[in-house]
Amino acid sequence: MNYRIILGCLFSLLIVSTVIGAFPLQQLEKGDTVSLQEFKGLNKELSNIDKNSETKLLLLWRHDKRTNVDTVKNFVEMCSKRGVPCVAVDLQNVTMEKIKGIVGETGENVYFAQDKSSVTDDWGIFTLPVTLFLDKNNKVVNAVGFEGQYAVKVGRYVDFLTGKISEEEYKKFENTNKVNDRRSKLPKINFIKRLIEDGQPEDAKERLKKLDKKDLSMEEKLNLAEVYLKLDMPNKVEEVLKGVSEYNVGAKFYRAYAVYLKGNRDKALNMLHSIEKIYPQKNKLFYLLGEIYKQKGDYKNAAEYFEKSCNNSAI
Amino acid sequence: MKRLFLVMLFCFAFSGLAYAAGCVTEECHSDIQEYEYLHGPTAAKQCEVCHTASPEELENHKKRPKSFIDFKSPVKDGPVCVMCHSNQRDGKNVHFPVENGDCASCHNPHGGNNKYFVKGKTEADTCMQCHEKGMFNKKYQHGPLAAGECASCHDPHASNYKAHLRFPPDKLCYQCHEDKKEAFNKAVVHAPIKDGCTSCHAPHSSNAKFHLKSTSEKALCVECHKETTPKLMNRIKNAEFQHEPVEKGNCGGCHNPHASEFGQLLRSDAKTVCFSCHSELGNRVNNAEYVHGPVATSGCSACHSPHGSDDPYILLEYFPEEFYNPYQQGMYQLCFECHDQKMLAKQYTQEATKFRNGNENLHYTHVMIKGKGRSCKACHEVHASNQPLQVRKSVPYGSGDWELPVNFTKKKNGGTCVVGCHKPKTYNRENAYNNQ
Repeated sequence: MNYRIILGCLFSLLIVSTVIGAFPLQQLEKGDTVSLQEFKGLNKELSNIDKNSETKLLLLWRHDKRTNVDTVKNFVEMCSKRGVPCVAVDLQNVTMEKIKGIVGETGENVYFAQDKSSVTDDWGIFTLPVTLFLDKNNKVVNAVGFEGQYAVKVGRYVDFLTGKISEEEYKKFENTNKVNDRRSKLPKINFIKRLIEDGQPEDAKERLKKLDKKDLSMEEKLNLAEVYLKLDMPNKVEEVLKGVSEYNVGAKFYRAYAVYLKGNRDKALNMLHSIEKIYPQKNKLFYLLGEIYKQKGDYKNAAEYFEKSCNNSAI
Repeated sequence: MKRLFLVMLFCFAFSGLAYAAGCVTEECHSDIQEYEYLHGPTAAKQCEVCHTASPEELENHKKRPKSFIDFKSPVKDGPVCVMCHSNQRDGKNVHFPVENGDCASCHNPHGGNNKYFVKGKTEADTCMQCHEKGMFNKKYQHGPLAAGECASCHDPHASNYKAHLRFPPDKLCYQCHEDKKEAFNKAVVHAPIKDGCTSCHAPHSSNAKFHLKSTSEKALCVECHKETTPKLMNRIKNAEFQHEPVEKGNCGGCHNPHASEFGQLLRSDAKTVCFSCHSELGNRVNNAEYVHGPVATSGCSACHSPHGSDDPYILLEYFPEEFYNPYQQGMYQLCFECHDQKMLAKQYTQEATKFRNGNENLHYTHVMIKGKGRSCKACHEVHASNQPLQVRKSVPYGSGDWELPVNFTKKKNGGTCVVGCHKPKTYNRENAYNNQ
């Protein structure tokens, strides 16, 4: 008797877990093939759909449901910005005229259709709308039910499926659990830089004292390091760049500069040469190399780098 | 000839030195060098570089200082400053004092307490000698203005841009606010961004936070949105049930006014934004095993109107609060915006619902009972639950806030429900279960 109960629980869990997995259809699964030709095109023949298209979208909706109407508008907006074939099937078989009243003009890649042969009756639909993502062979890749931020989220997923964005970039915004309400400190740091450039270093130092240096972003840290270098405070540079990867070329340049200001020219030279080919602001890099070589008395290298730092190419 | 020239030069220099050394004495012009930063000629005591006088005129001045002070400028046209400095007129728009050659209206020609010898304690003090203070005196001042650094944004001499800006208007702000440039690359960009920062922000000062060009954040948003989204504005203004952040005018609490990677310019996923305030609900959802579809997919707006509503809980449509309701058509329309209303159409059905015992439609049974028709939320949690199909763990019963526990077990073709101390009720779609 006990093993039956355990088996029953496990089986129930299996059924339930497929529902929890948020796949919005009960009788259609990922990998199943959908025949688009079963639907009747309203504005265009569905046979016109590019068979070579790697991704297609199929929206199941009803014109008499508010959430569905909102979704179809977003569907059309999202599809119009992307070249993928998009088919919207109203399960109440509404006319094209009514649909036009809802969505207005649509792009060439958007098709409206009816389910005349009731194909979807066997798909186990329990809520609408449902958006299906199909591959080149019309196999179901994924499906989603009602989506609150449809145009952006589904759009981003389509960009991922079509290779426009990487998986990493796609996932960056899919698993957010924090509201970004952080106020950037960059304007204050840039203002301090401006004061230094305007010949007001004392004012700059005053403002620097008042700046909250906790929880700085990488960009803020790099800019603050630049401020310390401009104020001839190299000892503060490593402190502010704590946590910034040693592979970050910008940070490496500022670290090298700080090392140079502290008097260790050879170490600074090594650091700068290690990023010579990859640091984007070449004229600054070459100028600093020139300065260091000059101070070491190596005028040949100094002249070479000073010339490089002035090199303005037309291309 | 060359020797003669050198002699003359020597004499001229010597006479000049004598001239200069004589201007600054204990009795006369002793204060001329009392500045932190001295103008070059002043520091070198070379007064004659700017003030020209013959030796006789100089002697007359020494004898009767107040009667003769009309020293000439060595430059006939324009200010003496251009002898060494550029005329600073490089630009389409030239600042008025520069146009008039009136350098001394802003600069003290002898020195000052700052590098550029501006006359006021700060740059701003100098500018305010002429410019109206009115627009600079409001509650929230832009950082550079508050620091008295007008020249951070404006070129005080000449510029090719309007208002003597140092950079084109669409680039100026990004000199400091460079993090805002990335807004243009985001998924959703607020339309006014393309019109420039000053379409919303007052660059000097404002009585609204973030230097907004209005009395408040909400007032600014409404200025445009009353035209672009009039229905929404009407709802915000007239809704019987207000959403607190909207009521308080805190549009920026939910929306990023510049750009966002999330829909509707929200600061994050809709669910994350909502749960940042509704944290208790958020915790319950995040820890629940079964989450209602729209809640899982950031679809709070499927049921709720975040800007306000005429229905309680700012629902988009009416939903009865009571546990028991005599059913009327349209009563649970909120749910049927996604779910199929067919589930309540017939007492017996084979396909309209999976909640049936044989072909007896149990949704119909529960909802249509005379006098005790249950609402959807009598059995189902609207957000999330730890029981399958979001069946709630308890239902209110009687008075005194007592809750009757509900234990639901889902099975292959049906399930079993044990409510409080009542006998279990089982249903099976394939073979109707006899619960007698």
